Amino acid sequence: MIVYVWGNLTSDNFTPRPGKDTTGGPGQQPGLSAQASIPAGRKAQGIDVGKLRLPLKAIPDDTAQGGAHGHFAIAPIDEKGDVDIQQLEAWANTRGTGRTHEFTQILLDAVVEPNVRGNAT
Amino acid sequence: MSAAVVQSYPPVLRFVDLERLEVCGPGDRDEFWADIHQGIQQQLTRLEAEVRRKVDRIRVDEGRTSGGNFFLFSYRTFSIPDSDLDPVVVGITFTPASEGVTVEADISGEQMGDLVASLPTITVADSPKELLETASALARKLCQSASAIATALKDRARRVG
Repeated sequence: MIVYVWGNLTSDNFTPRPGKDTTGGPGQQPGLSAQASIPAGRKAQGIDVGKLRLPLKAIPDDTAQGGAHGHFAIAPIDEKGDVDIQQLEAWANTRGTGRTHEFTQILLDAVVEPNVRGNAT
Repeated sequence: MSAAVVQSYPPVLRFVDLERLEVCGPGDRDEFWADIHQGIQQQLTRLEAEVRRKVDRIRVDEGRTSGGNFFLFSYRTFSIPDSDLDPVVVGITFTPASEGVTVEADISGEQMGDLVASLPTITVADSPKELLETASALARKLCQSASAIATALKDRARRVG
């Protein structure tokens, strides 16, 4: 399955935002946001979730609990399958530093449709 | 007081010793993409200066990424510090094609992906000389978009949550 990170292939765009992406919401796990579709005319990066290596996992929202249809949170998980908040925060803290975290690189390596545009899917 | 006259010349990529890259191994390819990145960034320095003349107190960062399905994304990010406006990314992507390398150059929102400017996609032979020349030419063309970047950096409709 392909999910889309909207925007560019920059390190920062492939790294969760501290605070904003490190806390979940109703029906939504914390993590880097990805979507099942792309708005018309926008640029996005298609990620094959089957190419994600552990500990990263793409977790779909639980729409019954208030999550958004087609939204996924990409986050590190622990041995129980829960989001590893400590690892997620450590990853998020590298955003804006110029460093490419190993989880960011896992995501970049899983990009199978670079620079795809909305309506092309 | 007389106005100072500053003479400047655009940076020039080096096209010498390219033959050695035709027969190189994976390690050398890494070095080659590093050279391409450097060449692009040299050109984009002019664009940065132009945007700085148009917009006060911007932050500019350069960077590069690579992944399983793209050789290089060389970029420069323009943003307004302490602002919720989406940064503007000027970038060139090199991806493998069935015959050669596809090169895409555009200017777009870092998180939103809204297109500010876009150049036609080109596929060139996987030759160091052609790739260097193409990268240089596209980076020079992107340098003509300072006004569009400045406008995007002031556009309140480009706020991200």
